[in-house]
Amino acid sequence: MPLPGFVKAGLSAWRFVAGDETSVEQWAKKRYLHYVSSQLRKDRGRDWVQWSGRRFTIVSEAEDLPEPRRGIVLQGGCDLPSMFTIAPIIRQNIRGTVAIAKLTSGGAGRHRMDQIVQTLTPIPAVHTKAVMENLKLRQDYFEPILFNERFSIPAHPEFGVYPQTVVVMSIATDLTRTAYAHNVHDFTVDPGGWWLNQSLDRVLDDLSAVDWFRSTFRSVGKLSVEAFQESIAIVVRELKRRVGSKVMVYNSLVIDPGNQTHNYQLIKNPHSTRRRRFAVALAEASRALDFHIVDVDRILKTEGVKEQIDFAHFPIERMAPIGEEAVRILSEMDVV
Amino acid sequence: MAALFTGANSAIPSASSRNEIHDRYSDVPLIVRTETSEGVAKWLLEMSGAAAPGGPHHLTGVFDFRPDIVITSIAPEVELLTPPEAETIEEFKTNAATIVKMLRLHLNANVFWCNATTVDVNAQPTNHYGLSVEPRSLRVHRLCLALVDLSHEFGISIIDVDRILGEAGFQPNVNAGSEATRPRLLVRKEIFRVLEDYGYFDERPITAQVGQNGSRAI
Repeated sequence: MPLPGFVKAGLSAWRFVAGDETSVEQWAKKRYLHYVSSQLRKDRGRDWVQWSGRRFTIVSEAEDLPEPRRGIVLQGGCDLPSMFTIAPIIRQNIRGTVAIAKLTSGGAGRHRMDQIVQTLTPIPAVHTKAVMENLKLRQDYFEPILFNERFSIPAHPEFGVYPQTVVVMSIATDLTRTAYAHNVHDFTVDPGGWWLNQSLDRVLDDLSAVDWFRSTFRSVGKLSVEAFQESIAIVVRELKRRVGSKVMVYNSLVIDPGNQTHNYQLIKNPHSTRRRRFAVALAEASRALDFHIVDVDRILKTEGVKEQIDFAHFPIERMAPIGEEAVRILSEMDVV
Repeated sequence: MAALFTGANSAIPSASSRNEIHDRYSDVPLIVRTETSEGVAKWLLEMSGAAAPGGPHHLTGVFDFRPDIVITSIAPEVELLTPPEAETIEEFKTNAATIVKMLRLHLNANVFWCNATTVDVNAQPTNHYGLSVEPRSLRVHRLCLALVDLSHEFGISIIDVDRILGEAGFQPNVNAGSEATRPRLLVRKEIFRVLEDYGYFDERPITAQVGQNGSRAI
């Protein structure tokens, strides 16, 4: 959610006087930014009420958020916000209350299936302390928060608690992200988000952090198809066993719009082939583990992808048909 | 230039491709022959001269025709060999690889293989649990992967029907007024583009299909 104009103006004036990213600014951000960015929008219809905020939407039949309550947790890539487009569809016949929320936010990534599996085994805090400080990881980065039976909306306790009825994941992160393993303790992190979300000046001012990272971690590369299959099996089984959640997983567009490659004799590992192998692996996992797939590949191809610049970033108008498909599945599950 | 189009009946726009080439490169001598195929397993039997008596023998003439290019498709594997009777993907790859090697050995022909769209407007399964028959879309994904492996190994070119149709979309407004012809038009243009890439219409050597396998008769 963009900052209000008066906040931006104040920030510019302060930076003009005191400089960028001063310790005062960092303190203020830490203490007050979530108040600014947690603004609420409330919409109301004849038989429904909807609250929308940063990374969540709640649709209910009444102001007092009656039962039955269902919670839909989003875990993963940048394609999942399309789930928020289901609100206008489900609110017309809403019974009880449905909360849709993304519980984790920017910064360092932790959405690869093997990283989710990693959270199931506690890591001694003494091993992670320096890493969490240096990479500015969230306190729950290594915690199994996806396997909690209930959740509340971050920064909005007034909306109460919801069961984790459905977990929605995406393979986009598994396709693209590179993980790094600790040289001594072997746990992995994905610092990509951290670097990308910083001011370049700040990173360049502190190159010792880069040296520290280079000497502390080693790249373990992208997730293999086999490791993905092993990891998703554990994640789905544990979600069902510990939480009782139903599971939906987004696949990904397998073609590269505009890529005119027709011969692979000199191309060993095209990314489109990697995505197709993951699409097949996901279907096989669905067959073995009983979960639903939101077939993003089919939906985008049906709509046409000529204007799309790459496989991952589709125009905002494509979110609606993906949301419609999600509603079809949630309806089959009797969640909406 | 002699081109052999072979595939399921409507999968490959052979006649329109011939017309397009003739319109744009009228000085290029061109012979086009179109055959119907029932998949690589039967094709291989026919090429090996081992087809059952009374069975289809039309493709045995491929050696007499001596094409420079063979343009074929996975459509028979998708449409004519419905599971569970369908050959496995490994069988497809083995048979297709043998065919490519035979075409290379005896004819020195380049091979273009059309893949297919994974979009099945009639079946949109979201949960594969308990399905007795693998969905068509998943089978097409597997066949597309097999083609990439064959391209890597033998250097064949893939006419990426999945990408071409996926770019255009399947919405009624996209194909309005020409539903039967628009996908064929797009595939035809792609075949034409790939032929140009190889240099068939230029005064230069034709690009060789070698692949990692390197099995090419010169």
